[in-house]
Amino acid sequence: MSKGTPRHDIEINAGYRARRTLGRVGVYAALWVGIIIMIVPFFWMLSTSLKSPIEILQFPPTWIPTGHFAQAEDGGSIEVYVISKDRTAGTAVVRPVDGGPELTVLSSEVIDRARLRFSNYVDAWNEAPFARYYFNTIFVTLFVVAGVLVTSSLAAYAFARMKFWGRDNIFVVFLSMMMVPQPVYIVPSYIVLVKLGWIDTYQALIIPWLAHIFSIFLLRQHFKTIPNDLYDAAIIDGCSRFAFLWRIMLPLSKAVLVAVVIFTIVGTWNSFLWPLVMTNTPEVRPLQVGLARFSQEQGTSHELMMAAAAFSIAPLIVAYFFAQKQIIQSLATSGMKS
Amino acid sequence: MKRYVTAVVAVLAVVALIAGCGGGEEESTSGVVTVQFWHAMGGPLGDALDALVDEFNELHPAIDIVSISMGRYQALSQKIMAAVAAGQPPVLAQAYEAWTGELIENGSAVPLNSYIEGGGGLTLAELDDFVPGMLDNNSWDGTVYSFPFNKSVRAIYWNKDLFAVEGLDHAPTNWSEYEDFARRLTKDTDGDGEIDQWGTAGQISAWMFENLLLQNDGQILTEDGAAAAFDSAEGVEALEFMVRLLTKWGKVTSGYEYQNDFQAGKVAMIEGSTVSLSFMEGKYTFNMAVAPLPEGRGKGCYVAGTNVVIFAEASQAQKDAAWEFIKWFTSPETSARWAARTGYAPVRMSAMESGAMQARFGEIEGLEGVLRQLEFASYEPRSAAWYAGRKHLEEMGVESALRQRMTPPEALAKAARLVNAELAGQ
Amino acid sequence: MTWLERLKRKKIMDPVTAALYLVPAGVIVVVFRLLPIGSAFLLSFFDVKMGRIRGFVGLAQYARLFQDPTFWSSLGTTAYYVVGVVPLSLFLSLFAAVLLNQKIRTLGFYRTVYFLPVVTSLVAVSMVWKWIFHPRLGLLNYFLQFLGGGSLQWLEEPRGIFEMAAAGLNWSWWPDGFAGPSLALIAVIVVAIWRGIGYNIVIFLAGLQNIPDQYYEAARIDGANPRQVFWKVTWPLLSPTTFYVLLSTTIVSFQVFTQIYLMTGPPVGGPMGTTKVIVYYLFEKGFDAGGNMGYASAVALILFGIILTLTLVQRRIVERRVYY
Repeated sequence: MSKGTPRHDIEINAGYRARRTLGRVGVYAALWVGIIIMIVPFFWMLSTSLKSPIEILQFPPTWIPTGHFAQAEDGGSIEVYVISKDRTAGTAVVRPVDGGPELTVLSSEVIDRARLRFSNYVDAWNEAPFARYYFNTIFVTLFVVAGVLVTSSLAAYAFARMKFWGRDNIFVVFLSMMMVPQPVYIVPSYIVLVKLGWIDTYQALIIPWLAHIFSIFLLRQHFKTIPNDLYDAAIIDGCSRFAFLWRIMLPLSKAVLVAVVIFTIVGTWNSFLWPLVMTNTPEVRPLQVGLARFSQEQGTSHELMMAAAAFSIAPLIVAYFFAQKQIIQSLATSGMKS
Repeated sequence: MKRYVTAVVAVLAVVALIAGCGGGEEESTSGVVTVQFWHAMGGPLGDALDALVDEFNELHPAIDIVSISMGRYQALSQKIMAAVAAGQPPVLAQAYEAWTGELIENGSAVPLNSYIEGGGGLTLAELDDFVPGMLDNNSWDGTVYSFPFNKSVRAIYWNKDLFAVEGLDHAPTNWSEYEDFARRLTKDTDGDGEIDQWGTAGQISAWMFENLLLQNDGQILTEDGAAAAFDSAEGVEALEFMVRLLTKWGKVTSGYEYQNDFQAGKVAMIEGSTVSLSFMEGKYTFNMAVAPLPEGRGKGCYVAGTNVVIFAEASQAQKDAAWEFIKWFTSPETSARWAARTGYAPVRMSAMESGAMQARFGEIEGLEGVLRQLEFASYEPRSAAWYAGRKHLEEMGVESALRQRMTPPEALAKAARLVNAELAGQ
Repeated sequence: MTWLERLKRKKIMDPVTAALYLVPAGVIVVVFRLLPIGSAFLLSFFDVKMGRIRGFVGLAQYARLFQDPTFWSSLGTTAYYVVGVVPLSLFLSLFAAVLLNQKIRTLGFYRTVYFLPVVTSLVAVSMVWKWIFHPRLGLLNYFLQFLGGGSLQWLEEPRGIFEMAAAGLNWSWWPDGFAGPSLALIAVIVVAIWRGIGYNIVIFLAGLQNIPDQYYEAARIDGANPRQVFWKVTWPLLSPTTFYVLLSTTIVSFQVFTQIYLMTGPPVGGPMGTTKVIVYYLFEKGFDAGGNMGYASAVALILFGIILTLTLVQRRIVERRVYY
């Protein structure tokens, strides 16, 4: 990364140094403000997902989930919900979390301490068929990734290496279709899928996505950088066209192929409108659609909604942390190439 | 030119090939008729419906009703539209009257008269037993195209404990009590200068306004349905009342949060659909009761909710099976159990006397009185134009007044202009 | 060239072989993109109800469209959205990228965090931000109160921000008609910037690192100060990247849909229709009961025209300034 870094270290006077130090501090401060803004929503999601329904309603909110505990008769403490507090009398009305009648206790006897309610995750998971949603998303993603790799490589090869009538025009038509937002053609697409008998099936989620125009574009750009001479020489040596693609082009394009895999995974995992419209039943419903429905049905149980949001994004986030360099580079190169 | 033809032929061939690969309708060999039923019931309502569907399937081994929830009415309407456009709708679906109107025009809704009058139909006594007006509301030019399915009316939910603190022992019965009680129940309980208990709360709702309008002797549209009439003096008065109620002695919350606040004892009374009962079940610890809507110049109550339609594209066996299900579902006994479990209104008057309903009346104080509002209930205009126009009433009329962006007369005038444009076919 | 070579070359031009390679992707693109998009556009000349064609109407829908106040207001809302997202996102991401390019230790850490929202699903992002924007219990209002301000309604606030500011500052001279985008739309814009900034940063960073060192060396020898270095070296050499970011952010912003669908309302596009962007408007027209797909297609075609024109105009203007 140091390759392009500007060097300002030639001026050696003290004033400049001081300014530079100040500048460094400013740089870090600005970057940290950014970091906080980026991180807080994630933190807030996790924090909320571990709170009790009563604590959700607290304002000002607590940063770390806090439980209320009251003295129990046997000397231990029991977890309670605080129903109301009477400031003048110094008492509080509480209700045990595990059930039981309301009690009036001294406010001072109610102790707050951190209490992470992991059971919210279990509750949210059981509230809707999330296991099925997960399976559906993974299943669909695997097929789409495999398919996109095959179709894109073949098509990109044709666009990059072969000459045929209307090649560039066809390519431009392909590209311009990327400019049309999905809601524009979702109803005609639905009709196509009905005619195929694919509504509410895995086919509806997989097959239309097996060709990815952007991947074709990306691979084509890369294939074009592989010298023509190499190709001509190979062909003259009796190498078949397909063998050239398989043995030479693809191994030389590993980085781009990884990029294709990564953004296909991210795109498929996160796609929403298409599966929303094309599926009806939980049997094929993918995770994001299931999550959106879950949030509609929960309405006001924010702790369960945040728990569900957290476990829905977890696989990609975890994968991201393990392969962040690769992922960032892939998505960035995909941008740069165009 | 030849090239173009070749290309077109090639593309068509490929399309045909793909189409050929797609699975067509699977014919059932076991003699069981499968009926896809699309609806919008989610959460506890969906569970209640699925339980009844399972029960029906048990009772009718030759029929398999497949209940498919689209989660929301908007999603349901979109899917029905797309499916009808593609020529492959379900056999049975929930539909608002406005949707049914469009389906009739499109030739997609099956007239039900022959079923009603036929062998497996309904007797005149049974037809008379339906809630007055409900079947008429499902008829177009004398032909019944849909059947009432999940219907609801509005009610006052009140916290008896908080009322008792103020020495009040009944829910408001008229507008002046409504406002007076709300005022008295709005208070700063801990003396910190901020109000902690509100008299009432609600959400932005055209339905609430329409009910007030009706109670104030106003009308939504003119007699011929060609123009907005809600911007009348009666309408302005009704909206002013609503704004006062919900902004001075209450608050407007997003979505259904006013129900949470009511359950938490922060709001003394709310107005809501009877269906809210199933969402509130077991979530409050105080003595709760329900009551009919307060009277204005007169009583008034609009019924909301959807009906079910059978689609013309289905096979005869499927249509017959769907009718069987409708008949069973709207029988006094099933209707009563559906109503008791969900809070929807029964569609048969005799259902009120059934064991299930009576037991429910014992559990929820005042519920019978609320459901008796059905006896004089009214129905909203059914045209597709009004269905679209209603959004303007809610967004421009009610919302802008409740958010105090415009005065009630301004808001209603603006909404009326938009609605009139919609009615004129803009 | 020998005749054998010529033959081989000729074979390269063989359309049949090319077709074989193109068929898998081509069939799918034709059936699932070209066909639906083509028919969607053609439908704009037909009267369609419940998704069925009722007759050819020529340009009548377009004529109606231009008199449809909701069309214009949704176009205006979209314009506000684009103007809100694009420059700010561009500026912030370029700013962050330049900072990150200053030999920052743990660059990887910063980059990782900034990029985090990009791999997060919009559904989850919308849920979390809706909760943060909650008018009563939300984190953002807590901050505002902590800083001594009052609560705002955020996603439920239909008032325009200029109007709110004018009211807050007691500027009675502020014209009534110029309320600006609603606070609800601003909330949506904030989330869009938050989610997309990491991607732009990474692209800018890659662009910055592609600038060869010798340019900086030369600038240094000429005694340029950091600001001069930025404007004389970095900015012009970065211009292809800037152009790409500008273009892609603009196109994506015009197409905004899912975020509106998930974050606003009910009804979607609220409060008071102030977040009803053009793509949602056409979705509603074409897909809600009534299924007026012809009308929706007319809207879509106009949108497509706008995006295309903007792309071409941007290209024209920028091409003269970009140093490739």
